[in-house]
Amino acid sequence: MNEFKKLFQKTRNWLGPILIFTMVMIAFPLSLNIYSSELVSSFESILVISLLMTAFISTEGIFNEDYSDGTFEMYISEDGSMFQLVLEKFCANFLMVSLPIALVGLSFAVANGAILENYLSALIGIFFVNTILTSIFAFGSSISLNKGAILGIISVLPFSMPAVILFGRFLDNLSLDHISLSFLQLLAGLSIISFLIFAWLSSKIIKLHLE
Amino acid sequence: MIAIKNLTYSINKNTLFSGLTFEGASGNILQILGSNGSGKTTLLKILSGITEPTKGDLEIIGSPKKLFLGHKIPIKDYFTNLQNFLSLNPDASESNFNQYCEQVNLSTSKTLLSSALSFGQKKKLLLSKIFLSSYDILFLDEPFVGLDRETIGIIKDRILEMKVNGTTIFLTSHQEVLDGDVVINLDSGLITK
Repeated sequence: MNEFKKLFQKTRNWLGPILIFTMVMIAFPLSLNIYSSELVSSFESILVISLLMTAFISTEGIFNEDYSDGTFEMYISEDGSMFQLVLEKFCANFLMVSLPIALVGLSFAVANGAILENYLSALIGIFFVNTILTSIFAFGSSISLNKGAILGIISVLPFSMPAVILFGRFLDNLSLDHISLSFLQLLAGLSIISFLIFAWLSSKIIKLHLE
Repeated sequence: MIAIKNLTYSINKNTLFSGLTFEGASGNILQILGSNGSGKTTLLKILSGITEPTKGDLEIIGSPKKLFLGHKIPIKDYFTNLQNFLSLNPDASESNFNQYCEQVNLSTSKTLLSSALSFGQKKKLLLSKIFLSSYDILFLDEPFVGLDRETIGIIKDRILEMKVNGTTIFLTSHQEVLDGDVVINLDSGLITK
């Protein structure tokens, strides 16, 4: 709850990624002819790139403040679980950033005519993929805690590519109305696994940084 | 009780301290002395479980309630003073905040953002943790830095009160405010009682 409150107070950290995502979604049709058929065909790739970008932006400094102001040190000394703290941070990020982005992404998908069927599947799919990407980039952020964000990007880029490919296939199937429940289950499973694994890895990396 | 045996810490092939052996009994103040860079903060971090030693044994009997308060001040600038206070002391209430502010002469409003506080005021807010909770072992890294003389007296009294109640207190300080029952000098490696 405390992590949620902290993120809520830092408007820039949650509103910034949502606004950037919205801006890209608005700028995309404006940069093309709004009645162009290209709009529909290239919307998917813009959505993927925007999600990738906002996942990075929203997690870039997710641990920095607590690391530099001594919150982590105090928390560990009181025998607090770093894994639990990281999970709370992830959850706050999903509720404040991933979920709104999934809703914004869906509304623009509808507005651009890219997805005409299965709105609910699209929403769930965008949310799960955003969850996977956010977990991966948060892990990158933990690696680069005191070394700059570039190291984080380089180290997690190989992990994010399979998620991007998977999301591309998901959107393809969705536009053809071929989406199956098992595909959504696969995304759900992967997002839960990446959520837990990257939260655990991040907690271990942060503890190493504190040493 | 906390027992340390042959504790050594090295970083980048540079040994900060080696072979430290001492015990911290209940109700003891253990004062860690040393010049800048001698490893006082590192030793506190090792004892509090934040950092792993390079070599040696650290034995803590039972599962004591511990707290490490370092140089850094985990006060969030975007929270109000009351929000920070409640975040540091989850079991406390608004009336506790008012009482505490009165006790340490923290003249500020509960609705004011903590970004407006000075370093010393933030430190006072942080030290509320030792006033509102009791701990078995306390690790204080330069607790008096940035505080006015009157507040130093209040903090000192609270530390002595905790000592009487059986808290083991590890303390680093360049100011001669408190006398330790055990003095660990990291420059000379001497431990005196």
